[in-house]
Amino acid sequence: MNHDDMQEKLSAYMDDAVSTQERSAMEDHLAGCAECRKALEELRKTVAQLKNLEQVEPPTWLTQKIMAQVRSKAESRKSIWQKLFFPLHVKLPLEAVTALFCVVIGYYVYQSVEPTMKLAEAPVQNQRSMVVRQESAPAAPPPAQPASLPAKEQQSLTAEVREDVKDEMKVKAPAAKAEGKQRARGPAVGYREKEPVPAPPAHTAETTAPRKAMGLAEGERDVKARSRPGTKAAAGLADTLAMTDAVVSRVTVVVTNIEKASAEIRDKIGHSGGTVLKTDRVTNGFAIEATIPQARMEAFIDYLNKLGTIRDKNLPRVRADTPVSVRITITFEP
Amino acid sequence: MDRGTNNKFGLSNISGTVKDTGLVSAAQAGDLEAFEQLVRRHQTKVFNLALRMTGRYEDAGDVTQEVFISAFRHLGTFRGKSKFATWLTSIAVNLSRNRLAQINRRAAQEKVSLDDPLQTEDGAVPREVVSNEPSAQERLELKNAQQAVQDCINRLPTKFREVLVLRDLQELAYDEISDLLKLQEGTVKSRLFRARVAVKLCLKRVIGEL
Repeated sequence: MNHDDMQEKLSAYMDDAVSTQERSAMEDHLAGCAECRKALEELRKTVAQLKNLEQVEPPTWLTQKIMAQVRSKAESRKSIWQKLFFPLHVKLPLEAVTALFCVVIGYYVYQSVEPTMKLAEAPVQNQRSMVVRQESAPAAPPPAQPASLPAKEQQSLTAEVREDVKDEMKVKAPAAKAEGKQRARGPAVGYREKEPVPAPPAHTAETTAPRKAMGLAEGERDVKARSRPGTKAAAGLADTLAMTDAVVSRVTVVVTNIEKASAEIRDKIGHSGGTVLKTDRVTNGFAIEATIPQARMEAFIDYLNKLGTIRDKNLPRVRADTPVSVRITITFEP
Repeated sequence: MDRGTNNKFGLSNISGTVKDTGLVSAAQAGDLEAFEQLVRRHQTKVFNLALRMTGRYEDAGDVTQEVFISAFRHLGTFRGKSKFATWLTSIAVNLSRNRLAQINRRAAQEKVSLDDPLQTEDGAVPREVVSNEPSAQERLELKNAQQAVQDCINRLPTKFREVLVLRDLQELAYDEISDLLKLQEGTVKSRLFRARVAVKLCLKRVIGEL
């Protein structure tokens, strides 16, 4: 090994970082080279000087300062992760519960709103039925469109219709299938009954005329009709009678034998296709309440005329297909 | 023989100390107390490495802080393939290099000093460095051998300085230095030889005979 190579490897030789062969060759050279031995010795002293450097203690505050920064970093990192992703094990169930809560609330809201939504459709149907009826009555003056009504009137109209529909629903709830047809046109009927109240006279042209002819006040009929929702349903005879009280025809027959006349009149009603609803004893005679087909009404009156003397006759005109409710008072002259 | 006791990190406490791996695992799980123990355990070594690399006490303190903050931030990437101390050392070397570059840039901006180490290729540096003989003023300021040694280290270019510090002060093996600096072992030996020769010549000129 030459001198230059020797100098290069002295450092590694000193650290025992040379191969066995190199070490052997270097030791042979060192044995005969004073300069290399001196160089090796100086290197050893230099390294000794370096290793003799005292370990310097860091500042006493260093740990605290490092940890203060570490904690600050940890807090900021933790808070960001907590806000965004980290607390998924908490956030996910929470979101699931919230979603479930929203669904339940939504269901109940829908349940509570659904009847109102159905009711909201009623006025539209009423308006349509009214327009159809107005078109079928050309003699009447041009009807005022419900849409052109003042907002307040429309609102009150709608509110009334809703009340009627609610009443109808209450009444019909336990009713039989037969009510189905009436229910189907329920809102229209309700509106028809309400029509005279908010609407101008043009609307009532069709309905008020016959009523006036029957000598009944519109208000009275409306009040009674509203207070007796059973008339729309299949109510009992008493209800039917009460209803016909308002539109009943009246006729008083003066006879000589009230017992016999009463029996004959009841028979005649039966033969005429009518129905005896009620027979009451009144002062000086009897009162028979019955329904008689309109077609047979004229012949029935002729029969009464032959049976005795007719007084106090009040026979309002009704439609041909409507049975006439009649109250026949049988009395005698003392 | 002291077989140790179980501690809260679940590892045996051999001779009263917990292994780094246990503390690292705990710190990785968010235990700041464990990380503080690691700081206390390694801060002196890291501080001295930074001190010998930068040559300044204040800079060494700053670098040491940066090293542990960086280690904390990247704790999740530490897989335990190397020793935690070696991992810390590699961080410390990199951050010391950066700090040294800042110091040199600052010095270059302030004045061009004849004492600044020359940035030259391998082989040319040590002889040129030692040719910059300390001034008479500097001789007076060097109160003792310790200061002389540090001053001579400070005159080394960074790539020689780091090999010298890692080998002769941190006492790392050649292969460890090779891994840490990602250098061939032959290059490590060569740089170390030149650094030692440069320091030898520097010391001979500053304090006379070795």
